[in-house]
Amino acid sequence: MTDINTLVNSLEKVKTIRSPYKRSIKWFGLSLALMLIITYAFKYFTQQNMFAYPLYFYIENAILTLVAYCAILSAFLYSSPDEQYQLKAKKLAVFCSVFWIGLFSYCLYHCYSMGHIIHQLKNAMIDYQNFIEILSIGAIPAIWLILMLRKAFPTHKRVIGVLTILGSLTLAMVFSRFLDIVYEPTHMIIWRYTPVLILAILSYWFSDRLLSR
Amino acid sequence: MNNWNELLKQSQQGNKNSYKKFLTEVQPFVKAVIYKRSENQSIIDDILQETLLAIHNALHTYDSTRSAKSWISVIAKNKTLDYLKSNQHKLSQAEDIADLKMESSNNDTNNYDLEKAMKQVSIKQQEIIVKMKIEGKTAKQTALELEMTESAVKTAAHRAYKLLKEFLEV
Repeated sequence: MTDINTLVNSLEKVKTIRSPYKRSIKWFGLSLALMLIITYAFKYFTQQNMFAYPLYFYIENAILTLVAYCAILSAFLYSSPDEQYQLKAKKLAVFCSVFWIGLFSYCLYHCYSMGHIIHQLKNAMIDYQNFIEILSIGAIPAIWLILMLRKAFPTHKRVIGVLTILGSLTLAMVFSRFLDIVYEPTHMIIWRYTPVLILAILSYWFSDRLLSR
Repeated sequence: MNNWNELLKQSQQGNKNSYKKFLTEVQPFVKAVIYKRSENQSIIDDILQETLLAIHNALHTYDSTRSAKSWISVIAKNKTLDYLKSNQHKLSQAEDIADLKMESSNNDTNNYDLEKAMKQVSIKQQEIIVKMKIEGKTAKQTALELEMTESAVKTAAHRAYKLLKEFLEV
């Protein structure tokens, strides 16, 4: 039984945490910088031209970046005990899920309309290093994000877990795409979208432990 | 309620008197939030304790520019859901054990244990258990016969199962 006197006696001056908006911007800014450095390091070794891509590539990446930020902001809002924040978190979670799945579906449709998905599948199966790149770029920011969220009061742990992995790895996915010479939708589906989606879904079952103090 | 904002703000500064006043004043509100999600009286006190502990641990997350009521409400809801989720199997297990013991009493085995266990619960609770577990009556039928409300029967039965479980497992 929790005795009020025990709680009162153990009270110390506490340092309040910043608003979820400020914390999300802090994470996003620093993670972008870190991911950029790691991507440039990869680029240095592969000697590729970083900006030689079609316009669509940049539009898709801009949308993915926005979706990633929304997922991260939603996770921060969910970890702040406030009814207004929780409502906003819910809306943002729906928004980013719809957009993410929309882009995924569009990419899938693009593959299908090109008519060579089976052929591409065979070639794409050997490119697992792209997935390793996503993990290398996104691992540290993802771990840092989990630690930041644990410091607050994560309410919907499983949803937060999915949003955390979806947000941080989608951002890593954006950066890892600059490591590819060509834009190939089938490849995108197999080695970028699908692994991120699978990891996000898996995180649903591990989040309770990861986010509990 | 603005008073709670002030009390919380002072508590964050380490003011123990304000904190004690806040924890005392907030209890009826927390109980009401819990009650909306679980009408089971026997567990409300347990969840209240967990919520107070959670409030203590989450004190640093309170933003004094926002509503204290909203902050407390989210914590209480969250703790209620956590408690119900984590204790779901325990609650049903308690009922299962009571069921098993009732079955064994019909077979004239372990009667002595059961008789001793039944002494741990009140006469009213004994009546409820006999009606629901031996005579196979529903909570509604039991409530009608004992001139109680259905929820009161369920609460009393639940408490009795818990007591029986604790006694029989020792």
